[in-house]
Amino acid sequence: MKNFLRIGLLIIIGGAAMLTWAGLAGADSGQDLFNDKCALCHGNDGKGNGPGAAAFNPGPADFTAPQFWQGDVKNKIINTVKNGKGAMVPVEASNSEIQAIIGYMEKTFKP
Amino acid sequence: MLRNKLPKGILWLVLGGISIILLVPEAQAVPSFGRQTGMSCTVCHTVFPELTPFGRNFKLTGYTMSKHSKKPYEWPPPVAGMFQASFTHNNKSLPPNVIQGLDPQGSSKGNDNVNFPQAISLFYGGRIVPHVGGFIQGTFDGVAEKFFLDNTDVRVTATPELFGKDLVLGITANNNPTVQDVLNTTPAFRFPAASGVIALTPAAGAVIDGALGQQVGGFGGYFYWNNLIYGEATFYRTARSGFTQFLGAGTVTDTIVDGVAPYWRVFLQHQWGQHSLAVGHYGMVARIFPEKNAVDANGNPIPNLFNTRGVADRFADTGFDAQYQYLGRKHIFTAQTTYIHEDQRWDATFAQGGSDNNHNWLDTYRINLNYYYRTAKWGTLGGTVGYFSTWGSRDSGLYAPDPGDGSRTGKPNSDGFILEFDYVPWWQNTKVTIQYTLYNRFNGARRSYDGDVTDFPNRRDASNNNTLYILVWQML
Ligand code: HEC
Repeated sequence: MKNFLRIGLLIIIGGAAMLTWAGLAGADSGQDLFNDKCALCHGNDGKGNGPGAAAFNPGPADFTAPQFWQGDVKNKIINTVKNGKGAMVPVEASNSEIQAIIGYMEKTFKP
Repeated sequence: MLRNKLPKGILWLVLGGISIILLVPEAQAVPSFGRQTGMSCTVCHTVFPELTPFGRNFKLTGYTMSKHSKKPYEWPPPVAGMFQASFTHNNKSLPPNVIQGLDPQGSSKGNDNVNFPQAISLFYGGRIVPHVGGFIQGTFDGVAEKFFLDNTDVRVTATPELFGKDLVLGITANNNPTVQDVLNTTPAFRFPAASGVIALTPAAGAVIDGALGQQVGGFGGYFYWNNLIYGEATFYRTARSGFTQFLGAGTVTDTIVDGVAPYWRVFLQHQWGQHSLAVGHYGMVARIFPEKNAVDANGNPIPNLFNTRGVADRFADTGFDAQYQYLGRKHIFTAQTTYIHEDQRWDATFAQGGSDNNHNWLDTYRINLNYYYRTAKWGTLGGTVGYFSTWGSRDSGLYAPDPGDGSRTGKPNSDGFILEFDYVPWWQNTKVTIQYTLYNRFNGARRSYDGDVTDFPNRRDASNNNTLYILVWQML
């Protein structure tokens, strides 16, 4: 029984490690990062209608709306990702990842 | 067994803990859900397993939300693990009959039990194919020393629109009434999420309040419209035989439902900004066969023999619940409450002479307030104050004197408080719980609740059952 438990534990730890490495291996373009970390709520098209959007009132911001791009947008995005806003919790992303996401958002969604 | 060798157990705990922390830099609650969605645990959970509005939607849409939604499959496959180790201290050692009942394997002591592991689980948690997802938990029970199919909920969902608003339509197959529910007020995922295994708990509880977990299989349908209104009907049958048998794999079915037990659920919820409020109703009618009054050749009762036909007892449960949640950046607050009224018709048990009355009732009330403080640097730290109370008809046939688990007064009344401290560190998939349960009344009385002095020289007071429980809960 003892050995069995140890083997079970090792399998679980080993499996977790493999999956973690698999998760860490991906390429990190701005588009990938956006699709991985933002699109579930904001949608791949940035319109704020991702599969998870229905859970929020008010809903996720629409990045294709001209109003979104008024003012100091960069800081707004950085702040929102780091500290959250309303019902959006902070998203784990490094400074360079956030910069890559902003680049992708400007290129793709800005009207 | 391992758990009796305390020093070795601690060594394993420390080694296991260290390797886990080293190996899992990325954090997720049921980590496969996190890999699938790209979200951290805090998107769906305050402190796991309690859900946020987003977590509730993730569950209602059948665990299928995925950042890989263009692909028809998940890679890596959504498997995850769980490990729980715990320590339980009772205010007074438990009598031998109680320990025997809680741990037929006989490796637990009367007090200060270290359960290493308390449980090890493997999950399939996530999307199976588009529109189909599941939460399937296989657990190794560290006390019973066996594997069983734990909480399981497999869903098929669609998300059309109705009157221009989001609609979720779903079908669920599950093995524990309320395991499919998304509010943390209903029995399967209510507070406390875990409690001492080698500890006394009150004898009386409503059927819907956990009596059928893993003993039944159910199929049902639900809708959720406009983030506002939820309705569900699910039908359970015994997992002892037939097409629901696999849903009770590994669990001895000792609560056998006659025919089909309908369960229903409605709630209204409103979410605005960081607040959400829900009020609901749930209920179930179950007809359950009594234990047979069988004796062996020497006239000793044979336990665990049940009728599977003939007259059954009938339990009708009506529950009401409410939950308020505030999800601030740093401050998180939740209040949860539920009331369950059970109408009991002991038609079979009464006929066998097992109860004094043919008709009884049992009420349960619970309320708990949770507060957590969260920072990115330290993680989430906080606690819960909970109050619980059960009261109902006096029946000395059902609640008879017995050392530890019996009742002197014949009343089911128990009440008390649970104080819990929780810490989920910044890496998010470990939870440390320190919990203290205080009984004010137990099985009908404050003092000498289990029997008279003349019957049991070691009679117990309610406060003797106060329990300290320390749990390390690791998701992998
Ligand atoms: C779990 C769902 C979710 C995820 C994931 C998410 N957001 Fe949001 N986001 C929201 C919601 C909801 C709002 C609206 C909050 C409000 O207005 O109260 C929002 C609003 C915003 C805003 C507008 C803030 C403002 O001041 O108007 C920005 C910018 C933003 N999100 C950026 C991002 C970026 C970038 C990502 C990915 C790194 C991301 N979000 C991921 C849910 C999400």
